[in-house]
Amino acid sequence: MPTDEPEASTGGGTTDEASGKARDLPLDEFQPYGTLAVTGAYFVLLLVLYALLYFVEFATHAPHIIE
Amino acid sequence: MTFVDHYPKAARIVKANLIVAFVALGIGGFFGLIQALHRTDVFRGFVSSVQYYDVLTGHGVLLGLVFTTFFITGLYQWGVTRTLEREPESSAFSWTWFWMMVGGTTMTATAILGGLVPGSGMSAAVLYTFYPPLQAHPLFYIGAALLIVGSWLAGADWFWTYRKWRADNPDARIPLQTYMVIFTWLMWYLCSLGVALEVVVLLIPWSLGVVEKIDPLLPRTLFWYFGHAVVYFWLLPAYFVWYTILPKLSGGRLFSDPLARIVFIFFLLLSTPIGYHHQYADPGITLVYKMWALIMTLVILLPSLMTAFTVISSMEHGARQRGGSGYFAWMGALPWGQPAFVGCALAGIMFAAGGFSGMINASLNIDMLVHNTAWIPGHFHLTVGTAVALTFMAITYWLLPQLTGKALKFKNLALAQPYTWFIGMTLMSNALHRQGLAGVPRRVAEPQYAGIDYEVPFGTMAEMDWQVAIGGTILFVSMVLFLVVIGGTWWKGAPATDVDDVIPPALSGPEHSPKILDNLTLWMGVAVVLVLIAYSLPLAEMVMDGLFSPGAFPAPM
Ligand code: HEM
Ligand SMILES: [Cu+2]
Repeated sequence: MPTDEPEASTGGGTTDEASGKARDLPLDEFQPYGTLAVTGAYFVLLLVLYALLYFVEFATHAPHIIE
Repeated sequence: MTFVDHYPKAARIVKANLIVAFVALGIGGFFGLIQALHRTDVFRGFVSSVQYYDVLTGHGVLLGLVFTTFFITGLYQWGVTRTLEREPESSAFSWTWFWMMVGGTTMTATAILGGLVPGSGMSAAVLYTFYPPLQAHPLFYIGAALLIVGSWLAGADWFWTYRKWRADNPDARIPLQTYMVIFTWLMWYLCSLGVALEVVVLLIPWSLGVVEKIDPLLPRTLFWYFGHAVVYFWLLPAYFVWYTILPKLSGGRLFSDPLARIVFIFFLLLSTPIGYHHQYADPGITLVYKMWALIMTLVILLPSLMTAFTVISSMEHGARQRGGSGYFAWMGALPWGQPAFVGCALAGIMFAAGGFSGMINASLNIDMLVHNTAWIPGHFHLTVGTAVALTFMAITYWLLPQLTGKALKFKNLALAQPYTWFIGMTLMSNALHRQGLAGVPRRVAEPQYAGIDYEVPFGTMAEMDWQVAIGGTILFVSMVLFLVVIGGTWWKGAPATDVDDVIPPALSGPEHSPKILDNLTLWMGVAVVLVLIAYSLPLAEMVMDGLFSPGAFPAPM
């Protein structure tokens, strides 16, 4: 029987564990700082990799990867 | 009571599609193992180095085109039926498109596998990008055309259901899952027209011998007109899962429904006009169009970054509802013991890595360093080979009980499966990327040459070869685990009583968004205009000197 609580389940997805829902978090109380941190970290990583790319590919003025 | 009880007709169609998808996955995955061992010279006993290319074509076509397409039609049939709450309008019609797709697939697969049977007189070692001058047996092309036309009819089936639903609900917003199905298929109609024209007008007459020579550039351009958008044809169904199901699996709700709609509009508009970025190395296409494609490709990163934001924040919402806190620590509160969740989450992480190597590919000049090297399969096994394929496998763990009324069997194997896939792919993909930087070509049975030593920037060639071979083996094992869980559930699963099939509404629902987002005619119109801007002049130029000229002879295969 579909219910609005994920507790009831024998499917492969949300089972007992997912019902470990501790509270109900409405939209106006939800501040996605974690999302900011994760996407920010990915962005910094991209910049670092791009900088690295410059050094390994172009700084030698040769068609080599490193040298 | 779950999906199969409410919609038995639709459930049968969905299941039939999934079965074909998983058979293709099994055969194609085995071919992947053969390649990983053969290329690296770990074991070359399965096939000869000539047959390698038949296997490679089989792998690319069965996984890239057959597994994906059938899984997508199954998944989308489920989504449309579920959210519009209607059985298919005509079972006969639904089975028609299904069997048309199966018929086409069988023909194509026969032509490919014929290459492995000495004396069959058949061969189709044209690789999954099947443009000339490589030539396949006509059966290959005819089958491919049927598969595509069948998928068009599948879309027509869903539009039919949609129109009936619209008649009953004149003012309602399109439910999000159906919205995503519609936008994916609008894009699919637009882009697959190119490959259909290529196959029917150019390749079939040519392979039948009606014409002798072929203009290599025109079919190639038509292929890539389709060939970039097809990656979004694979990816959008994964996004469908990440937007509409993953938040719930994380214990939360989708952050924003309107944002999801905007993202799908972006993809409809931008997927097709950027096909030239696969032709950076082609002569005969002016740099102007290549630059345009480069810029548009970077713009299309935007909807993927929006997806990252929405999906991650929905997962964070789930984690916080489960008691998680902190900037990064909340991730620990996610359900890492649930196979469906784990598969989708790991697929997303791999996709983030694929995003980086994709940006390299998109950059016209840097791409020249990696063009046609092992870097490229390194890249797309992160995207289609994991972000898409692992998401599809993982969500099957959640869908199958709804479709069969049976509880998932072998839960521990199901949980091990996404983790093993992740490990195998980390090994294989990083090594393929690095081999590419060393100049190792892709699509080569024996990529070692007398008198030439690759200059390896990081690591050693032997170490990379082993990572490819071991990674490929782990991936194969992971795929077998998946098939065991699915087969076990299907045949031996105990009847499920309370199947989990509820998807809670989005935190921010569609009622807060402008209705123009649902205006299908408008967005399709803009998409067509963008395609005309990008493609009409170059195609006109290629056609004006005659469809089949300047002509080249087929390469012997
Ligand atoms: C069992 C897991 C897999 C293994 C071991 C594997 C291995 C490989 C290897 C080593 C190559 C490169 C061969 C070469 O360039 O010579 C390759 C190519 C390819 N793979 Fe996979 N793969 C796997 C799964 C997948 C999946 C799930 C997909 C897509 C859904 C996929 C799609 C492709 C495509 C499209 C090609 C390119 C074919 C071509 O060059 O024409 N693979 N695979
Ligand atoms: Cu592309």
